[in-house]
Amino acid sequence: MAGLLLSSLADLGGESLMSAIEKYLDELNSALETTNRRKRGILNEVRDHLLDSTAQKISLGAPTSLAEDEAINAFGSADLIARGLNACEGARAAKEAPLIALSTGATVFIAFLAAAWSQPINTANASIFQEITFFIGVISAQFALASGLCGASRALSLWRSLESSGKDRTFIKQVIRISIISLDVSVLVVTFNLIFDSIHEKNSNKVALVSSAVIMIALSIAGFIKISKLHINSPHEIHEGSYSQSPKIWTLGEWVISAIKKHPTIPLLCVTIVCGLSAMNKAETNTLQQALPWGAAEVAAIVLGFFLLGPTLGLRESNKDQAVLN
Amino acid sequence: MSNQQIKGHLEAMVLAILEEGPAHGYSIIESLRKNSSGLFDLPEGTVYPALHRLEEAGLVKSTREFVDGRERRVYQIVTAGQSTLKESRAAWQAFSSAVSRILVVNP
Repeated sequence: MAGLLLSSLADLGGESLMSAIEKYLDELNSALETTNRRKRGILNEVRDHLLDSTAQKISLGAPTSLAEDEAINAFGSADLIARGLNACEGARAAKEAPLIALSTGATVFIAFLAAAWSQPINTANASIFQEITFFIGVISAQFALASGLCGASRALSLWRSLESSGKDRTFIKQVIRISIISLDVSVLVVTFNLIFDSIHEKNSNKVALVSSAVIMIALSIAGFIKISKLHINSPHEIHEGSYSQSPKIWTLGEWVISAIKKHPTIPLLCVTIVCGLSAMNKAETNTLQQALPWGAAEVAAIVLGFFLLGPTLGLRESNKDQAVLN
Repeated sequence: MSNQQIKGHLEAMVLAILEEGPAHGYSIIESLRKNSSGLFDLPEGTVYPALHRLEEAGLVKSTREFVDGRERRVYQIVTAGQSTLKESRAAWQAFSSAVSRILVVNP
């Protein structure tokens, strides 16, 4: 019935009907904050609804012009509907952010491994420049991993939940952006390292080194742009679905983070010991004495990172929060 | 009934309607109105954010299907949605009977 009515809407003054609906859709389109592809899907769905509603009202005897106005009024203001849809689109984007960071990190790592495997085994000791650039690259990659994990943990806790606050979405975007920037720094420094290698090593596979460096830079920049373009829509808070929470397994990461926040000393001590020893082991030095500064630098970088980035990553209370608590 | 009162339960009611069978947005809002005898008179568009949230949470899935000669987005409840609906029903029954015990004056 509705289908038949719709097909004859044009004959019943459909021109003004279409323009009223299209005008409403234009308004909704301007208020929506999501990708163009998603906007198209939403607008098609809303158009179908408005056409059905108008056809229904016409079938009940309403004049066409009144039916279109009533259908649009009954649907709700474009601003109201867009607010609900934007919050939903923001929640979707917040879940997408860690996946973008993960795929960027994984592909950059593969490019780095390809560069490393393509080179002949070097028996000579690394120069201090190579040691320093590699160390900074590894530290930045560790920060990228830690912040990526914090963002992924919050996103997982919201994965199966109907609720997602603007605060959570902003946190995820901010933390994932830190992760990608750290990855970019890591890539840049490792690229310097590779260029240095290709200049000083006669037997190095220069084509593989340069291609890997270019691929790594391109991937990390693409990741950063993609994250920056995500529509998190944080001002659009929703508190409508009050019953559905994510199952406990999805909130395990958040549980670990809150435990670290409550008792930071032991986890920080464990991480610094493991990473410090690992840095000493990986440092291409001949004696334990020569390796010690690298271990100490790793420990210092982790402690400094924890104090500087900890509040942003949600791993420790900021001084301001502590003052409020006291 | 205020819109705020309905909104807290909108997703559960949408799930209950979809339990009857797949439906598109317009028919869902029609069912809501019909089954509540016109008491739930939300702005019709508010059903779409609810549907999108349910889909995002993996409780319903949507497909494009031809209805009345036009391609429409049709929503269908999935197993996780049925479990959530069961939990929501139990929670609502416990809540409503507790409220009734307090509010309803026995003769």
